[in-house]
Amino acid sequence: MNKHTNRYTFLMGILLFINTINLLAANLETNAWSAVSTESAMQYLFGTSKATEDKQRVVLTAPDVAANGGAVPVRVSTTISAKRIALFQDANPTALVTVWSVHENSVPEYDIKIRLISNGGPITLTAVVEGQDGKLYSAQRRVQVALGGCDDGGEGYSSYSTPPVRSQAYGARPIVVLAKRSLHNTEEYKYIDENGFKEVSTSPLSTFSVDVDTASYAMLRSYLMLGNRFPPKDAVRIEEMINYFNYDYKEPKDDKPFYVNTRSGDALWDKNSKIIQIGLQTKKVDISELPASNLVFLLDVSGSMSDKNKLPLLIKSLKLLVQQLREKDRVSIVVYAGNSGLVLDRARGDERERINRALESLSAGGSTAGGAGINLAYAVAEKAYIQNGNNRVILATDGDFNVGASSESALIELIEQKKKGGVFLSVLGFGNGNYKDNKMEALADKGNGNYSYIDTLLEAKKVLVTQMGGTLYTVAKDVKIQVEFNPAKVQAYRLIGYENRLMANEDFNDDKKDAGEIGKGHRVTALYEYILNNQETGSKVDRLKYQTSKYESYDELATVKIRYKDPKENSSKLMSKVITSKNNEITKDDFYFTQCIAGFGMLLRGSEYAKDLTYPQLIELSKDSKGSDRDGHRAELVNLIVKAQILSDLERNK
Amino acid sequence: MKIKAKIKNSIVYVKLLIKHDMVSFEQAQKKGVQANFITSIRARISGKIVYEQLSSQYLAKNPIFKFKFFAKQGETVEITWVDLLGNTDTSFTTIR
Repeated sequence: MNKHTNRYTFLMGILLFINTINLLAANLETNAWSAVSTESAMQYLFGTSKATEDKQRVVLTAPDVAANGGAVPVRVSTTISAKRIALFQDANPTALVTVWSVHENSVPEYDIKIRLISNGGPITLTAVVEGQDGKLYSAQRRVQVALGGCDDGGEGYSSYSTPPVRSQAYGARPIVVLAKRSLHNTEEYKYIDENGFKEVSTSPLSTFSVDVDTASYAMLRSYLMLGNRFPPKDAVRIEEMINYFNYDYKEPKDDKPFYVNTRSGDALWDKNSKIIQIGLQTKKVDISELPASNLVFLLDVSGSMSDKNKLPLLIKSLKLLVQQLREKDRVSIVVYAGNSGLVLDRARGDERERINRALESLSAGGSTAGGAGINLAYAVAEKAYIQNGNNRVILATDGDFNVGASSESALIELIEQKKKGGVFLSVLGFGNGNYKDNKMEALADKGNGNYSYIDTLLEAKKVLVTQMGGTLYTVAKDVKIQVEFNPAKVQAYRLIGYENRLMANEDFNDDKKDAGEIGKGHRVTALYEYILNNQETGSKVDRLKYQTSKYESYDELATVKIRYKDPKENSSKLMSKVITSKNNEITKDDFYFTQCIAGFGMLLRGSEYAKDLTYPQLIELSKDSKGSDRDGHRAELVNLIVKAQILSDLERNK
Repeated sequence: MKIKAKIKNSIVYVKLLIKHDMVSFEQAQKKGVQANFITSIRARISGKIVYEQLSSQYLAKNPIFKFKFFAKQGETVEITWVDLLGNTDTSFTTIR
């Protein structure tokens, strides 16, 4: 009897235990649904309420004013490789509205209508994306509800006849910074004349300057996701899109500044074409070993910078950078608007309080006298000059130099002159609306610096912290690439991108001719599309009789030559490497993914060379060649291509 | 339940309409009826989930959902919803 009772108690114990586990899981779920505040609902649902605001990658769309609280149209979409996406609101008795789980074949863009009960004030909607990396990213949106959430919400069946793909007309107004301002849009992009095919027999040499800028990628992401429209063609610079991404390139082992990685193989978009990929990789960086920095921030605080995505974002971004500075570094801040002034004079890198206080004191107002500001910034930089250090003016602006002697040529002359004195210039671009992309790129180019476009704090982190070595420390300057193609093997070739960086062939060996810089940890990638010699290319000239080469029997497609100067030297050094069809220092995934980026750029530009390439093909190919994708950037590109496809389907349907 | 599933370049655009009163707890108290609203919706293709949503009492009455996923023409989408009281409905549509 006693024995039986014991066994009974034991079994009950086990059952109770199992039930407790089930209840615990169920409770978490129930708690999330009954939580009153957005924070506590997030805590129950995700185990944390800490999310990084990221309005570029998490896009929440809702009307500013909802006439009918019973059916408020809301759209949530993201480019982040996501596990779950949740929507919260802070007016109804409980906060959590809905949770989507993202599956392999899902497209993370959802439209729903929700019920919002007005409490008089605006209601805050919060969309939270749980990434595959386990981190949370969020966006918020305030909605004013005119009429309380009455029972009669929802669309009747009668309106159901609209074709489903016209989701654009669904009523949700996007949080469009871009579109709202389109009336006064004064953005300027330099015209890009896409490189065409060149015959190897008549022009066997191709010469260009390297470019490590990445601004174009962040800008087109902003257009597609926030603006819900395609970027202007000339804002799409394929080389900058490609250089935004990380590749598993080999690093230099010797004392050379970089290692030249190459690979040749089939082109994704044309079965008659092949591709050569050239990737320069510098040594990866350890921040403590870097030379001392003398940084002068030249900050635009004119009225046009007052938007939330300009000066406030700039201040937050610079605070991130300040955390990385060391005792031996020096920081000064010069501001310019109607007048220019010195806000912080040569603070030590470890005086973080002082630097942060100076940053926090900034506010925007007045017009923009860029010229006077630049003069003052250079004067301060020269006063604080560090021998063998990294002396640099960092210009942060939306590019509006509109007061005083600010003609572009005078400015460029000044920047070039100061560069010779050892003070370089980097440019951080902010905001949209009156953004002068062409001017910014030209300035950084002349000042041996790089140019980055900063649209979010995450982007600032990427540019200023993760890539700080590259953004601020030049390892080689005036880096030029010249490729000589073997006429015995290659009939014609085409450089993809770098249209603004082409150089005359004779300038390659001319050390007086300027070119781009490469920083620590940076990598530069270039793609050539080429056609092998044994095929019909529809060439207009006959094959040249005397151009037979002794290299006919060699497996040499081309020779790549690189000229660069050490940052302190004035004469250049030469490196060269033969490219054969067997070169494979670049992984297969990297090789094909790079082509996906280029193909995406070509489609966005409406390039004739894209041939029959389509968005669906690109989506497949980019998914296949994503590789390990440690930073999630590649998954984001796939989502951007999906977004572009949806937009192009919409356009075709109109 | 009304479903439209149209394919364009391998992306299926779905518009889903469910006739449901979506009675929130507050409305239930006022009217003296039982609260009841849709709590979950799933779309599957050959058993594989392509869309999954859990929801609270704050979806609009007779809710409309628009979503997209990758599939092929001619495949069948199976959509199922469940509400708080355990009512459920399943529909099938061929992707055109």
